[in-house]
Amino acid sequence: MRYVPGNAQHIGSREEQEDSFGFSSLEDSGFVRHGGFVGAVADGMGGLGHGREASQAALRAFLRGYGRKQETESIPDALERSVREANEAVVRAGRDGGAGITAGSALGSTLVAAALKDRSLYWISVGDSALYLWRNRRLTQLTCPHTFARVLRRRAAVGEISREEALQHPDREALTSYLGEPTVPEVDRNRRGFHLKQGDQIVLCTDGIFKTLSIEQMQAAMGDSPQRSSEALVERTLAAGAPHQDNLTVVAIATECEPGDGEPAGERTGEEIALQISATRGVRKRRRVLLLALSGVLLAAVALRGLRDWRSPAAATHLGVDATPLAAPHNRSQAALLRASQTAPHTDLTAAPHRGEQAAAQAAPRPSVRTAPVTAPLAAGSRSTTSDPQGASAPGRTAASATSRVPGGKTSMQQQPGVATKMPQHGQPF
Amino acid sequence: MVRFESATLSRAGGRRRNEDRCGSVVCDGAACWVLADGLGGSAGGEIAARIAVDTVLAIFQEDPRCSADVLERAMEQANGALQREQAAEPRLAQMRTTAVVLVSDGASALWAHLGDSRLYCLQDGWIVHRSRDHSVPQSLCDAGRITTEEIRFHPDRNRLLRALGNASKAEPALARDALLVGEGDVFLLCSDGFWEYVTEIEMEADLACAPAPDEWLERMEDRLLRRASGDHDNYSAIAVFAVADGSATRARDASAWCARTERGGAL
Repeated sequence: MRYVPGNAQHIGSREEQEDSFGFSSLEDSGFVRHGGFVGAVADGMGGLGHGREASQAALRAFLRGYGRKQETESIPDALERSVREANEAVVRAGRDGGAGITAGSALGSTLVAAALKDRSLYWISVGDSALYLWRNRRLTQLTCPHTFARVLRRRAAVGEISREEALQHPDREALTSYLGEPTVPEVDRNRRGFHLKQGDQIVLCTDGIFKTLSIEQMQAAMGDSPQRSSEALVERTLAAGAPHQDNLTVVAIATECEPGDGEPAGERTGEEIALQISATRGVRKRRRVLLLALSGVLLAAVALRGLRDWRSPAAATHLGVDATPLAAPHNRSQAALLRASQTAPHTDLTAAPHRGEQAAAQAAPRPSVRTAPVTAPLAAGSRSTTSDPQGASAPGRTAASATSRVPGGKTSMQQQPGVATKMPQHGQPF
Repeated sequence: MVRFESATLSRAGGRRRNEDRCGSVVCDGAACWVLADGLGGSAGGEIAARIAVDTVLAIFQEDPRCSADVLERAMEQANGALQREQAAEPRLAQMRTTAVVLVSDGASALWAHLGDSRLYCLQDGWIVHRSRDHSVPQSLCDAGRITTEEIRFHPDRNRLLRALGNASKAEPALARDALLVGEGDVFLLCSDGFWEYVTEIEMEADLACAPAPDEWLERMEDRLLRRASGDHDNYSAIAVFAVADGSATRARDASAWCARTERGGAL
């Protein structure tokens, strides 16, 4: 499997670049085999001050943390641990100060990261930086933004406020979760690997992109390669000429199958309909038998590899924090893009949705269809909530009010409990 | 054997009245979920949907089995009840409703539908089945004239070919074989006001992130709310998760550093 990265970045109309981005290393093939390839972006919160330091601290700690992943740790667990370490780094940077930061400052940053291993995609996100999937000439946002706008939309849906109020609320852009607080309110992540297909690209970007461009404009900018896509998204955003254009950063990754990689994951599109259920039943039985047979072989292989590789140094990281884009992949040494061969079709021991589960433990014989009445009562938690208006879920914690700096040096106090503010942005609603 | 966790979402959207209706019942070790999207003036849609849901659940409770004849009888009786009401109240003569019904006994599952309310079946997080709409755009798609994606915003989207209350005999589509239900299987029943604004990839992506049915619906609803505007249609969805009998409903994160990786908001 070949991982093809791309990226582009620009300062926009701001005085400082407060976005950061980075990738994991592809040089350690042993690491790539279990850890895959990771791209991440972080957007420092200028409203809290020292946004650049915040996003750099977050990204560095995240990549360093992920680089310490061992084979026994699943990718979702490694991502979560790394985000926790990133949070601790941001908190520490603010608390301890240094390098121009006064001790006791409040720093904040978003972070969104994607890990690709063979054909599986895992992601984790805190804040409003976004991950998109590019497939069939459409961009689908995979992450859920942690913004007050989300809360407002829910309130409007249940009739607590009007839709206009929700659209015009001055704090709709404020974040309801970000790195830099002792307890992070919300983390968005998938627990089950998401299947990628040939031709897919995943795109990570900060809000400087999608607050200026509509999704249609972003789709029109996407190119055949991650590097072309990244550059075109940045160019298109700048060409839009938004006032006070925010820093903008794009990271894109594609995977390419190579001969000898084994079968790609099955074609699972949302457009497939009316699959024969009886055929599905047969496939699942066959797959289970295969799983059992393979698991024994793989367990032995993993055990052997674990013994050999456990002393591997943490994979080095690449950290990009300035406006210089990476060289396009075709200019880089191809040797740096090592192949991580697929060890087994469809089976991913590190992708178990629950910690450390081995494939063998998942196989359980299914009962055949019986006509006899069911003896055990069905404890169906039939929790029917109706359309009665119910309270929207408010952010679970209250934060101190934050000062946001707007261009021109004016300050304004934001007093919305539970949120922290970023710079107000120009862009489309919702 | 599995047990089920489900959550329901049903809102008026941009309309004054919500003419979607959802319901479910557990009876003698079997469960039934039903969703109906009513149409017709003079509040007829609301009445039609309510009659359909109430009748289906009543028939199921009389004979709570996961079987095709139960589903057929439920649809037939619902159709009859609608027609009787149409005859009794002339102002309701035009009322119709879609219906989608799912039944399961914990070992297998069956479903039936009429109209363009849908049932999705997901296994291992992927959509393995979607019911075919009884609508003009679906027919065009079946004939190869338009793509599946184009169904969503087709101008003839609201032209149904089949609905309850439409003819003397209901002709619901039934799943050909019962599905063997396993842990991790997921069902989604939804009205067109819902699926119109949420794509299949989004359903799958959101499911990958959601440990419980209410959170899945919440994530998908936010996508809908970001897109829908003006007087968009009523939207409803029932999410059903098959979980291992005896297991906890959610895997709670033990780590204290993160307050919640799941949103527990009420719908």
